[in-house]
Amino acid sequence: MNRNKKFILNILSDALLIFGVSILPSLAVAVIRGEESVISVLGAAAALLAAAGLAGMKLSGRIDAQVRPRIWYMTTFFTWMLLIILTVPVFYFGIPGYSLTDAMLESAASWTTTGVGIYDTASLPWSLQLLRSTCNWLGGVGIIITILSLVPTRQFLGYGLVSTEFPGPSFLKSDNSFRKGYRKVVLVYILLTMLQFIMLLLAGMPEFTSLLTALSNTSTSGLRHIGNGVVTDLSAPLKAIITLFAFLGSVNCMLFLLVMNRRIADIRKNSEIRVYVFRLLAAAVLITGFTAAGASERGLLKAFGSVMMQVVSVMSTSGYIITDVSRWPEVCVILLLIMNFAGASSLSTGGGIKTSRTIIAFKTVSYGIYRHIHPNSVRSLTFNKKPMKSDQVMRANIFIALFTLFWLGGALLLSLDDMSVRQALTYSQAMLTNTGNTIGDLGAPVLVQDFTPFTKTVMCLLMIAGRLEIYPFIMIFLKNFWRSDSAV
Amino acid sequence: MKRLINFYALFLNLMGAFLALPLVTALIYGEKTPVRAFALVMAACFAAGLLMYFTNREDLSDMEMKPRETFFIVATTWIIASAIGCVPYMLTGAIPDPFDAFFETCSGFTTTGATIIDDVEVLPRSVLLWRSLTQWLGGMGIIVLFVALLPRFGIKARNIASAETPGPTVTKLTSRFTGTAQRLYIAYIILTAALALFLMGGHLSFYDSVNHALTTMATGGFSTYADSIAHFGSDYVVWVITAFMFLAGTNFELFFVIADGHPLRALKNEEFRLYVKIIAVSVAAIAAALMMKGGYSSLYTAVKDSAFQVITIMTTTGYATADFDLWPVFCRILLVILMFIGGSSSSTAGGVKVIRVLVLLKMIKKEINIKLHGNIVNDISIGDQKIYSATLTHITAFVTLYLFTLMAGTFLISITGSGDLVTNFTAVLSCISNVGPGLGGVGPVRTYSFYDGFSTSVLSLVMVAGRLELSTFFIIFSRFFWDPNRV
Repeated sequence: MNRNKKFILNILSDALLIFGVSILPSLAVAVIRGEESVISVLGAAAALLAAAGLAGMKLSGRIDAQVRPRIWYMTTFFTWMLLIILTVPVFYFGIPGYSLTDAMLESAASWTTTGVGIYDTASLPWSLQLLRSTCNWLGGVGIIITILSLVPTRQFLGYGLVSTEFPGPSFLKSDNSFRKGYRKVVLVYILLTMLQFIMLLLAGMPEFTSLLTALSNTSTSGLRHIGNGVVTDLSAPLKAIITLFAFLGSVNCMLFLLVMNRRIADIRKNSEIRVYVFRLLAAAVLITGFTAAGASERGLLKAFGSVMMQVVSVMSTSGYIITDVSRWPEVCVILLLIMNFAGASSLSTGGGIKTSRTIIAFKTVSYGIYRHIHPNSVRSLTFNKKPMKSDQVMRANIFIALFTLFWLGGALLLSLDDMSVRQALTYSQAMLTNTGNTIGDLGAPVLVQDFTPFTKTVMCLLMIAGRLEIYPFIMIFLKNFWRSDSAV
Repeated sequence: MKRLINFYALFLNLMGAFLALPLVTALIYGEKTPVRAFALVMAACFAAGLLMYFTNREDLSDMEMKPRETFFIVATTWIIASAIGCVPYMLTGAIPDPFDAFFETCSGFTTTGATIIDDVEVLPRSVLLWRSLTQWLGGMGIIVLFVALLPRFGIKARNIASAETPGPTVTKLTSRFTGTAQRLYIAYIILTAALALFLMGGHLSFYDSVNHALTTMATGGFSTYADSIAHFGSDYVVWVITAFMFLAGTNFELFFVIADGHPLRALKNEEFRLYVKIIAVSVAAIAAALMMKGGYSSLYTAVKDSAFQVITIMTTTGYATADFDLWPVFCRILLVILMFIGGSSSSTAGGVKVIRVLVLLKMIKKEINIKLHGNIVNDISIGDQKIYSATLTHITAFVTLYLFTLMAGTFLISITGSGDLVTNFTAVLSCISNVGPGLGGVGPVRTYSFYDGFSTSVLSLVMVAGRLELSTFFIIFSRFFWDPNRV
């Protein structure tokens, strides 16, 4: 076995082992609740995955040599695809009436943190609901980063690999050791999840629902286990807690690392968080203006709070419906669609184009206009007060064009099913941004059981493309990707 | 300032000269109110133009325009042209509302073809000719026409034209840009005349032939009939217009390459090849969808309607032979994608342009190669011409600005509560790409008349911005423009 194959097998084996172990809590719930139809499925899955993982680790041995970027992307893509595919049998055999494509969609939605499902998620056995939320959490935090934070041998080799799963213009460089950084990221999300769980419990949410909510909300996966993501009936404190943690899940995790390293001054320099918060506030103010004009001061403040909660849900790409939006005018829907397209922050569990890229894009446009007026200027673009290289600038802009291309291409393929233009465009966006519920149909949760297997497959592909930020997805269609290094 | 006034003076005289054509038409058809309206506007243009010229006389050939002045002249000239052009609509009573009249004129000069007129057939013939003429003037560019007619602008005028010509590059076909402008207009006039003759061969009246020739070659899409080209019920007319729309959406520089005896070189042009491929694939896909889900039983009719609609949308002309808003959703989304792409550079079409799509695809491929194999050196080139980093930045900035404008425009026209998501999104997309029809409330058999004054004003500016390749328009709103020392 050559170096590349060993590398890929090694990471895949780790992923299988971690997934196998992470099924155990769901298995325990199945046993406690006597969900007999699921016990055997979960038991077999956990045993087989763990066995396969251990065997693969033994076969691949210790890896200590660096591999080429091509292998990083290959590893990330294979890891994600393998986990999604191996979760299919669990849903297929565990839920009566599910077809293979139904199980595939449920699996892809779980891993890519997309809040979409076939049937009412709350009607699934508790153990499978927990499995779904576990996949949400692992998918949101990132399976590769989880592996690298747990396995000691690959801390140096993993840097490039992590960048394929957590792409973006900035990266985790808060510590001398990369593994320390990865560990801190995972620790941050564990702490956020635990804190949220405790706060939800204290606010009166039942234990199991609190657990599912904490796992899914931290990973901005939506809250399908509560009314298929329609949580308008929850109490105000619960709504506030959910909103707070969806927001925290959607901000750049570098900020948490800076807090842990007591570099508070650096947070102030971070333009992404400032712009992200500004976008949130601006959208909330505008929507409040459109929906609650003429209300009393108190009514206006209450309306602003409700609007803000929905805006956080949309911008963090969580996609749950927390406010009564059924009578919102079309302009609010359009504003939310734009905000959802722009998405959350880079290095967060949220999806979309990402705020940092939109900042760079705005600066590119401004710079382009400046260059028209001063063609001989040598001024360069800056981001977070640091000059950017032209290839970094172009990379962000190309991604936006590519994202638009995928959105329209996805809508074209979805339109082959029996849906309207509005549905095709908004469903494509909801899948690509990993939001799930389409903002075009706010107030109505998305249940896709009536769609054709082809449509469900397209939705799965859009979710995976969106979660992996498109590039690993399109690489598999290129000859260069499959050619051996020596042939390039 | 003197230079600007001098420029506007000459421009007003040019507008006055062109107003003579609808005036003569009004006289021929005995349309009394339009005669008065056109005569009045013409006289006002000449009077103001001559007054400004004689009070600010300066030799234009000595003008050394800075980029700021260039962009300012182009952007303001287009807005002034639209402001003057809408006066005949109001004076004749064809479109009494000033916002609507401004919208219709912007739609004309920018070759968009979006209309607020519900029943176009009741309008005076001279007004309809003026409407078509605005499209023809805007098609190749008002300033390019200026440069072609006034050779003493000389080579310095190239900057002006490059701010107005569609596409990221302007090739010099002759040593002086005036020569290039003249050659472009000669090709434009020949093709327009040829189309008019072809249409007359299809038993169309002289008036209809001229009107449709003017709006086809400009990729404008205004028709003198409410049901557009479907009115003629002639396959011959449909195929002739399809062919000429295709030519109008082709890079005009290729016509000169062919004229110079290098037809193979023209056929090998990368942009042209992609343009043809996109059209061929789209026509086949839509024809297949129409046969399978669109209720079509004749393959010929499906191909004919598909070819016409694909080419009219991609070249941003915007005619209609069928209500494509009733076609399967797949066809409608494909047409929306074609609205994004648009025609070729240096053609009369709008949209992002095929050349930019081609460069973007190459940039994506390069980016993937860099990700896979590290920082490899892999230049982007079109044909044998390397595309430099500055051009690549301009292209990506253009596409980003295009998307931002599309989103902002959709939001703005939704504020007053007119139209739903699909209607407003495709209305702005159609206006920024200068297409004309969209989907839903602005579908091919509907008009923009339900929008209020605020929304039509936004859409008018979006049309002008799209026609001027965005940056020429947005520069005048930039802080760098008003404060040139700012960095």
